[in-house]
Amino acid sequence: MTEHEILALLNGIRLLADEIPFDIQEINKLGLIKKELGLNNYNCLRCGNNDKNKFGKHFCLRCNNICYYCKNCIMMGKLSSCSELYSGPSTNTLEPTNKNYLNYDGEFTDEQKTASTKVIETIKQKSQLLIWAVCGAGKTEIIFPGLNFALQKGLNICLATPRTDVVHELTPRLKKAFPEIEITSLFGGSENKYKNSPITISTTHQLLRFYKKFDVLILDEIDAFPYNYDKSLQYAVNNARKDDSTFIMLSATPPNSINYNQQINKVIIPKRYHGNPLPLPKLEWIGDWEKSLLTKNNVPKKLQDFIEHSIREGRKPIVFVPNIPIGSVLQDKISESKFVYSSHENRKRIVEEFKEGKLKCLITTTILERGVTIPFVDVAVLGADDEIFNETALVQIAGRVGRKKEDTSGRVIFFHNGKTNEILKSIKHIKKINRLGGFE
Amino acid sequence: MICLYCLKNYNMEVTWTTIFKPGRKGLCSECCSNLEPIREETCEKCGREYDEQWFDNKHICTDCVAWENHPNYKEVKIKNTSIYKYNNFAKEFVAKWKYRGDYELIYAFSDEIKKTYKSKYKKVDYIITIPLSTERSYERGFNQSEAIAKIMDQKKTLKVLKKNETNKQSKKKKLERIHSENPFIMTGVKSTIDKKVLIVDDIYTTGTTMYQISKILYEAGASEISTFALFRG
Repeated sequence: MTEHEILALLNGIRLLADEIPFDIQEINKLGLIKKELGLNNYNCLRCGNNDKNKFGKHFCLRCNNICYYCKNCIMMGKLSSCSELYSGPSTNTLEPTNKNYLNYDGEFTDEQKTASTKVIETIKQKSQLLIWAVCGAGKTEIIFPGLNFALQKGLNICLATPRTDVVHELTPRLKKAFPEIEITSLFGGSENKYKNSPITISTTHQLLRFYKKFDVLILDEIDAFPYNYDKSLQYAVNNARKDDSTFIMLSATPPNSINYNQQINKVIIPKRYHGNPLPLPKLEWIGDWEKSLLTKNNVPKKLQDFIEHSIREGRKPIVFVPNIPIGSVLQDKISESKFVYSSHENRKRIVEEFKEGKLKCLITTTILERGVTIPFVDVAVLGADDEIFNETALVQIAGRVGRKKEDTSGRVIFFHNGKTNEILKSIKHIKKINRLGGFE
Repeated sequence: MICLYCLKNYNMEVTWTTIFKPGRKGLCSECCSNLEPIREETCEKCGREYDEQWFDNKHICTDCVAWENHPNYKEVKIKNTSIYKYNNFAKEFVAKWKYRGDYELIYAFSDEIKKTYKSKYKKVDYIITIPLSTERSYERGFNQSEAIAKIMDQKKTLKVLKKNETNKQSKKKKLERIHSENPFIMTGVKSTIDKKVLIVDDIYTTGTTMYQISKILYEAGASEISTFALFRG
């Protein structure tokens, strides 16, 4: 074991003694390594858990005392009152240079240009920025010049997202844009050991082991599940950043807590990159469709018309449903359709089949509300009044339509049995964005 | 309330299940539904639920028949009780409890363990716990058998065994286990002479541990030996 190996293992990373394959006595002698107690009363230093109900205790055979432990992050290795966390300083992998790393020749709209300049400024100032960009604004491309700038400065960059799907989607795009740069992707189940590289693309979950690692952290889909709801992921993101670092958040539907935060600068991109407005959803009342569907297997007439009409025009209808039983029944009743949900084994393949036109109609739960771009889709929400469809979800779903230059319009219909507040808010939201984009 | 296992919030609903199967508090209904209690009809020796594939006759399973013919354990008579089947959920549960070290998961079974103890083992003199090697004790931070004994009756718990340092049972194949040498030894005074004892463990898989310890206690003069394992694999 050399000092070099220890510093490499703990390079901006915080681990339990159990996770370190070196002699702890030797590590304690190294001045650069920081040692901290893992728990402080009902506070877990690793995951930020401070909910009394999520701690356990027992007589510990390690320390021969009553010992508390964090239940919230126990799957990462048990952290008890007698556990210590070790971390080392984060070092940068690239030397500062004037070289251009970016390989991208797409053209920016004026809005994209403004936003991407803001990104560079934010990195220079080490401040915080929210990019509120409508669905289909070309968010990822906006950050490219900023990433290039950060790489030239030799900074450690992290692109984080709550969703594994997005990690898979971003990785090839970034590799293409920065062909010379080593990129490490982290997600649940990614086996390869972490490699210190200039760009890390990670799920927010995987950030829990990082400690003051990154100079620039860009968080995509800040409002997506489970980040918006799991405090420990927010804690992980904050801990993964250096004290003096840049934090850029991206969202099409930012939560108020971020949107109205005075400390965070904001740039809005209300127009899609092809310059057309967001399609406005149409509302259709269809009565008590659920009972008639589940007991008599009756597909609502209006929904059937929507699907047939869409197929006849050579388009691709997607139907969003509030839960799995409803989706399953629909799949059986609608010909050449398939239903996908989060735990579906072949979910990826089915979406591909639909894209390729091998399937006439796709039925889905809210899992496809984000991150999918399929040309020529029309979208229906069956039971838009269900509580699972909040404002954010409905705006995102409507945002699936008309994302491509060759197909900028498309239909969005919310089928409901009574307008909810969330439905009305989503319509207001879309109207407001379109107004900001100069459409009236 | 927070579910001990999945940490999700849940409401304790009064349903037929909670009335007829009390003692499940601590787990949400979804986690609970993954547990498979062992039904009435079982092997008279090891407590495994009756299932054609494991039984040539209605009373004793094929594993126990094999034990009867084992040269080293002829004198040992096993009478085991288990509460749940060791299904996939139980495996994950035990992994989180024992290997991840979430000690408090055992509280999910407190009431069931107490109920079984009171109805079957009220008359035992001692509850014998199964020792871990020093290394394993440090690794886990607790002893799973002692955790169960503590729920039954801490005052009756007796730690009179020691384990020689060997490899983990769970890493061995079935035949290796059945024919492995007895790693346990008695320490201290022969306090078990003419006593009724109950050996407590978390899982009964091949029965090797239970046979090995029963044999030692038998040789140490125990008058009646029974065993309890929360799960029957």
